[in-house]
Amino acid sequence: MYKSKVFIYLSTLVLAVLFTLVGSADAKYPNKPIKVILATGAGGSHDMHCRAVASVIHEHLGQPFLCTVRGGGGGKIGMTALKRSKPDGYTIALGSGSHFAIAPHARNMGFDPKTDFIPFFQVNYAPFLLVVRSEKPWKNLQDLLDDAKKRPGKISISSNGAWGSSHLGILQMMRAKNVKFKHVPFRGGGKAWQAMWGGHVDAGWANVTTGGTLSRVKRGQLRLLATASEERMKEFGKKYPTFRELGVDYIYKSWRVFMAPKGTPNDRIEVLKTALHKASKSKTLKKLIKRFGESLAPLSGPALRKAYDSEIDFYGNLFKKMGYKKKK
Amino acid sequence: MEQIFDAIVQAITLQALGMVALGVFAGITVGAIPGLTSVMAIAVLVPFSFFMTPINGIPFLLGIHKGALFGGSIPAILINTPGTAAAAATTLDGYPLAQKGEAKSAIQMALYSSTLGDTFSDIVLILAAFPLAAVALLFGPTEFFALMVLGLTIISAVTGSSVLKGLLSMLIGILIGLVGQDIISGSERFTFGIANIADSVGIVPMLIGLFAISEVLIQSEKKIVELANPPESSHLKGGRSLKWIELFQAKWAILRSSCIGTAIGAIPGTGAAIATFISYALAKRSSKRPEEYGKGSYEGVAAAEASNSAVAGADLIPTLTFGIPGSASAAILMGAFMAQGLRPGPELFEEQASTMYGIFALLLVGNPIMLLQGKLLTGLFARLVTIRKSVLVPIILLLCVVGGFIYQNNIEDVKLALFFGICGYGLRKLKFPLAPLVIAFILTETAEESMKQALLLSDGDYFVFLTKMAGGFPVSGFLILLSVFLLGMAIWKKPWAEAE
Repeated sequence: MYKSKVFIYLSTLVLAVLFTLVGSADAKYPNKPIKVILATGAGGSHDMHCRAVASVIHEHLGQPFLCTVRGGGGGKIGMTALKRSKPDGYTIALGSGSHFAIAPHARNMGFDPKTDFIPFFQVNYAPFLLVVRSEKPWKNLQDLLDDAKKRPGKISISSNGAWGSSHLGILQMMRAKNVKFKHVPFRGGGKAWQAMWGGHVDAGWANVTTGGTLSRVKRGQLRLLATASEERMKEFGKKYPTFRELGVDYIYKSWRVFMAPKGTPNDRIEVLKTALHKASKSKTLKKLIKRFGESLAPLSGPALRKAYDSEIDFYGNLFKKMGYKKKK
Repeated sequence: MEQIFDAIVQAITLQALGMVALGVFAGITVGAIPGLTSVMAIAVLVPFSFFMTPINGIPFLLGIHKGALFGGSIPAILINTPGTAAAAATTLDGYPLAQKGEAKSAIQMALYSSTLGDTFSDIVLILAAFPLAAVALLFGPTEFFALMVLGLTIISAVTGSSVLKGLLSMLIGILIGLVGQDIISGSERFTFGIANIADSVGIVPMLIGLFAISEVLIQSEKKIVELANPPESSHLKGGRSLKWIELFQAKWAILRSSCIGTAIGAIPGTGAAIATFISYALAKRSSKRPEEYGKGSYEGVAAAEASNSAVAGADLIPTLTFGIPGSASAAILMGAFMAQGLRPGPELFEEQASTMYGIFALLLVGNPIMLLQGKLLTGLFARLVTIRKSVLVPIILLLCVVGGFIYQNNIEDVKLALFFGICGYGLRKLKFPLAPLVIAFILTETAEESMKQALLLSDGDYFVFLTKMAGGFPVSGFLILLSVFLLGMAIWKKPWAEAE
């Protein structure tokens, strides 16, 4: 008994030491799988995009992506995990606009999006759409705003949470047009959409994929009032106006962008970038993304960095203009 | 009609059946290990499905979903730890049965009920998805709140002998449920700056702690001599097979629970856990032998398991009809559907009918496959109770620690589980029932949000809960009055029951 105990302890020790040595040798990067943190949680368009990219990246990078779900705290848990991870190029995240551009202004997230992260590749984005059921009386955004002026605080709009991306849209409309809506927050965009579709609130937000919105608008079940994009969306044949056109300065593009923690060596980021650009040309990936109802919009380099920083500033200004006091 | 028949015949190939069987097996395994969730398994395997044909890929993932809801009952019965949150109600009667040496028959009851419940909801999905989805849409914040109130009243059915302790347990559950972010105002409450619970307390670490770790602590009190001997019931080798008569006696419980599970599963935003507890409580109320519940009633196990498996099929109803997933697993499944070009919505059943019918056929076939696999595995699992406690208990502790970590890849969850383990130990020593705590915790988040949303919409009018019409019927009012009625019945009956 005694002898075998010693043997077990010793062999465990030896094995443990051996395990730590494996993989630390610095062969060509990457020589082991890359972990991709999903701060948004399981399911949902972010998760799907990550897994779609992960399913083709192996061919272009030589190593797979491991999509790891780390949701919670409105992105706090996942993004702080990214911040604290070793900047060796083996841990990245698929970031979301609401986590890095909006939430840090609303409350203390435990990171500074400009200095703690390096965004290096945008997969695509999905602008928010303000939609109503087609039975509703408002034919366009102006109708809705006129009605809101006549009946302040009576028209209800759902959002994906207080001080989240769609709540900001509601606030911007109210400020720009001097009207009052009834804001009803829900836990997440899916629930908020459901409330609109079920007729429990008057209007709601979606992107092209939420609840099959794209096809519902085309079929006339939903009416699109405005899009939170910079230009009219070609998915809808450019028929629908943007918020900016109508005098409401509101953009929300629901970014999906790969990010690395600060300090990750540049050459490793370049390797990832090249592989991702190659992957975005792959027919398989294009087909998968198309099936989600979206398209790829690869962007990287200084243009991406500029867009990233200006997005963060845009929302910072928005919160300031609203006189918002950051919590904690 | 012929088209449907053709589609089904074409779909049932050996390869597709093999994929379903593989999925079900993976699901049972994942469900049986606390901390591993079917969400995780489906998420990891989804990319593989991208490269399979829809007929092979989707039923594979659906098989995992199915298998996990049965698999969760195994640790619930054997070691008092629900393998999935949905199996929480199964512990109430499953574990006492295992302790009496009837683990095998308990797992078999869980298997048969799960299969029956799942088959029921699959049939409903195939025949009545759209009408049911239309009814589900009627549930807005007001109706959700009323449903949660109904859920809270059933707590009185599971309080055990002391109503006071049951109520206190419920209040603690509500308190824990309030921890986290309030989506109405955006502020964090009771989080003490701890990042891990900024959102809400994780249900899986909480269950692992409250049930399993507390059990480990309780067992550790015993003398080592007692624990090192094989358990008294080990000569039964895990127990006997379930008698047909026992299954037959539970038929009403199974039918009722399948209906409730399907109905609640079809409403996005309510989970399997809610369905199971409501079914369990209603089964107890309508049972000829309610005093057995909580002490090892086969009917209780049947009610809980039929219900949570019925949710599996019903989950797909809102997911496929209007693209809003009813749960995290459904969300990932939806992504898998979309990646195959199957977009949720009315077009799914019009343009891609033949693929869908093929998938449905395989979904149904998955049930007998699960039954077969379950029967083969049950004997094996049940034998686990014959292991000496001195070996079993440390293994359970290890599983808890690993499970707590694997849940979200977060070591903080393990700390959370340990914390709840100590709390659970304390509560059990003081003879507080745990079920009211768990139910209250699960219901509180939705109840609070829905109440606030409903009041926002009604401009502060509290009567809205009684007067609001949905589809021409006062759904909310009906549920509230039902709750009051059930509560009244419980209070009236209680003094009678206390006399035992």
